Amino acid sequence: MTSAIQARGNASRLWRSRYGTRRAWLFLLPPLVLMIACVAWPTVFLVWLSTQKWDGLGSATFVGLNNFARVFADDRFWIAIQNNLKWSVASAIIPPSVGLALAILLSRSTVRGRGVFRIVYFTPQIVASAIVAIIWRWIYAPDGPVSAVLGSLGVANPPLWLADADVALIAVFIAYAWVTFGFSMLIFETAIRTIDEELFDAAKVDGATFFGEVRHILLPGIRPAIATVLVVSTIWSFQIFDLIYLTTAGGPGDATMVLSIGIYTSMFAARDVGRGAAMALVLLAVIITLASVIAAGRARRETRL
Amino acid sequence: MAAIALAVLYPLVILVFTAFKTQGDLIVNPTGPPSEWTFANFAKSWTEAGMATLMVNSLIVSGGVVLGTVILSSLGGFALGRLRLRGTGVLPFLLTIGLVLPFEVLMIPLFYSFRAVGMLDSYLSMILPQVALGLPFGILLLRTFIAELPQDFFDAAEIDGAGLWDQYLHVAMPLARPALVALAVLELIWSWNQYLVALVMVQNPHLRTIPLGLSIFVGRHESNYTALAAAAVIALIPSLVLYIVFHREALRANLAGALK
Repeated sequence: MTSAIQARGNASRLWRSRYGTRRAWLFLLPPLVLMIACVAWPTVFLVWLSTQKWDGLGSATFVGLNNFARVFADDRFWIAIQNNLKWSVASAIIPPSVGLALAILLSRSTVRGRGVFRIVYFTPQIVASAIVAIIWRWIYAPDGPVSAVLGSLGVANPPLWLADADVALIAVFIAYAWVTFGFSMLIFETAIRTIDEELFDAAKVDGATFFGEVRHILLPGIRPAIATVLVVSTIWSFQIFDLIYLTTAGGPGDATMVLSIGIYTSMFAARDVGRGAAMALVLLAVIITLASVIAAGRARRETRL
Repeated sequence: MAAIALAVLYPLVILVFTAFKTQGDLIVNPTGPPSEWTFANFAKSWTEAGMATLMVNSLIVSGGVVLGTVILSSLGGFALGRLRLRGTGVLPFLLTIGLVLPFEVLMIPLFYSFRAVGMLDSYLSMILPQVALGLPFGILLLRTFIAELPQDFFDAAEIDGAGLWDQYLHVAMPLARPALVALAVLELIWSWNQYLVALVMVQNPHLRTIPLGLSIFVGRHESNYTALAAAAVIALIPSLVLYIVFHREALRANLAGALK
């Protein structure tokens, strides 16, 4: 029986190696062509554009690494980098913490209707940023809910939130955290479910407190999920464009300027394509570095198995 | 847990309240339910934002993105998961890099490439980049899924004389259904909410998608929050209805999407 299956497998492998390979390219070709046209070629084109001085209309001149020199000498670029870093650190801490707390609540409590709560908690994640922006622009408006509540509490001059350089980035980030915590929650909750229930039972028998259980069983049990959430949240957060562009457009001043907005405005508003391309390559370098952290982590996990 | 649910939903509740208020009511009462419910904002926003056109455009673009990504990913995933091709060893590695490539990085070259071939301001200029950027994820997802299927199914079909195309269509596709559904749901959520691609690729008002049309409506009605909220509520309804119907698939798909 075994040998029959084996023979069949060998025969098919033989068949495939003889006739299969060339025709198999027919399956790979359509997706490959599209990815070459819309991913690989643009990447090459991007590198070329980063070496050109070009307003997008006339003829381009080769300027070597001058665009990068200009970008690195520009204070606004470093402001954007700082904002990106603040945003990413906050993204790696706040939404995952909220998500973890809710995941523990959902998976360790015995309240009925937990399924419904999971769906409700995840809802902000499916709301388009264009809508999220409308919601939070009103929440932060001078005569909007936040100021009204603060006013009734006796706060005389609440900040103008989105129009105040000192708090604008934090204010937009709160909206972002509201959208994204559901993702961490989902990953953590699934990971918690894979922990052997007997471990928790044993801990209870030993008289462990709730926090003891969390610290010694739950957190170690979901370590791979924590790593995934941290890296994925960081990569996503570095690409942030929509929500900031639609609430503050990088302002007031440069208070909420980030790389992706710098790329967009370099191309369309400033007509400085080379500069935008150089900034896009910086963003790409950051993202690939972060992604190789995941790849390394995954490889380590696989070798351990 | 119910209190947390209320807190999570409260921004959406405020949005709905605002959409049903008159401007005067909103100023004296920014947080609570409307003292008098009005539908006037919806009528105004529906026509002024051109919601009907926006919805049709979003349907076309998202439909194209979902179909394109699912079909091309299944072809690529079948080729890499079932067939051994000489010279494709480097592909999974390249795809892993492609996995993290966002439109933000490629918007400049994509804009000028599409302009060079005269394809800006078209549905395809919004669909093709989204499909291409979704393919690395889709192909890797399908490749893993198909490679983990019992290969005896394919071998049996092969012995019965099924060619590669039959194996793809009648063996791989039905078995890979869960992965295909997850991919379709994820791409639908992403493309339905996608703003930047439309912002960069489209100038023609008749081609605007919902997120782009909303943002332009915001630009015209800066602080007319009741009208903005009504437009946002209209735009939100399709997503919410789909989410309520397909919440199980949406949650499962987002788990698979953790890869990306």
